[in-house]
Amino acid sequence: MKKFIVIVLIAAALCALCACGEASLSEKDLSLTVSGVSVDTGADVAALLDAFGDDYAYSEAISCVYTGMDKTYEYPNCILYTYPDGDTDRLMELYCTADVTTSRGITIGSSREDVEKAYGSTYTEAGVTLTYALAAPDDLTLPASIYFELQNDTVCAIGITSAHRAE
Amino acid sequence: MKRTICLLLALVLCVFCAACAAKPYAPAGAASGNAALDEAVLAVLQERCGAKATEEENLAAVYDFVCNDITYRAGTTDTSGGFTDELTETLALEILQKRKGNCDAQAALMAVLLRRMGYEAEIVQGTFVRAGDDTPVDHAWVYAVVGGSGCYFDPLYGSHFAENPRDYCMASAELLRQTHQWDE
Repeated sequence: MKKFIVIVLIAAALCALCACGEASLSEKDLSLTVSGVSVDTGADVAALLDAFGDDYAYSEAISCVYTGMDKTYEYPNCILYTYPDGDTDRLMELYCTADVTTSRGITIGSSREDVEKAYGSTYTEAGVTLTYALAAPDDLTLPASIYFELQNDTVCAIGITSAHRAE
Repeated sequence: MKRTICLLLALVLCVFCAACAAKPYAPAGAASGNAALDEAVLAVLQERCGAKATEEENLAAVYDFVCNDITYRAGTTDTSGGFTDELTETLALEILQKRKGNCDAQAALMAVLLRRMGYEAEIVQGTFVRAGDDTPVDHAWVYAVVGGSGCYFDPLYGSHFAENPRDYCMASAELLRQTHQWDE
């Protein structure tokens, strides 16, 4: 009986230690370095456009969901999506296909295994995408997240989304 | 003798269990011929639909998938020339892989899913207005023939603007005309 209790306690301790190996996700983990520019989910759109420069293709359309205009700025290696919040354009998503590194060292060409080692197994997998999301602040807000698009188990795109209301 | 009886009973039980096992949903419509799209569509339909479910239940399940599993993201596709089969399939595949898309992509996905289920479905291009704002917003949704009658599917509008998203699943023209405009 004593031996059994000891085995159970050791097993429980090992499980707890394994759980400690996966660091939980925080806002600072949802940041990217894109072409040398550091971007996080709360980034100011105007400042980003200044930093990335003028080499973009611009498009806008009346938003199907928000009041105002959806805007996209397509650079050679990334696309910036904004949504209207009153008179302010806010970052909805930054989608990168080259020259991008995450704060945990994942980049284009990293393997799925690399992603799981860096971010853990608490992702949602849908389609070709692994998404790591923070907890949503309320039922009406989509949570901030970082996601990895895979092709043949290799990262081909990395993106971050800001927490924003699903109007 | 006892062993033989036990073995026979076990065999009968196995055959019985195999017969009772849930058969996967088999969509009635034809595949598009785009292998990657067909595989992705079939995976969604077999995950969300049931072989023993009713037609309405399966349609609602597919509609709910587009409402709940697809996130809105602005798009830049030129649909001024209408939705060709190629454009529809391209949009549908991309949105299935990335689970993000605008109304055009969501309508394309809805249409592709419905066609694979065996329904005639076409994408409708028009506008809608929000409550308290008379600015028309370019929009796309789906018209399909279900049980011999025409009806509409607008998962984006349903999930973002309707009190009950399901109101825009198999919706009547009368309901849609309250907020949407299009040429018949």
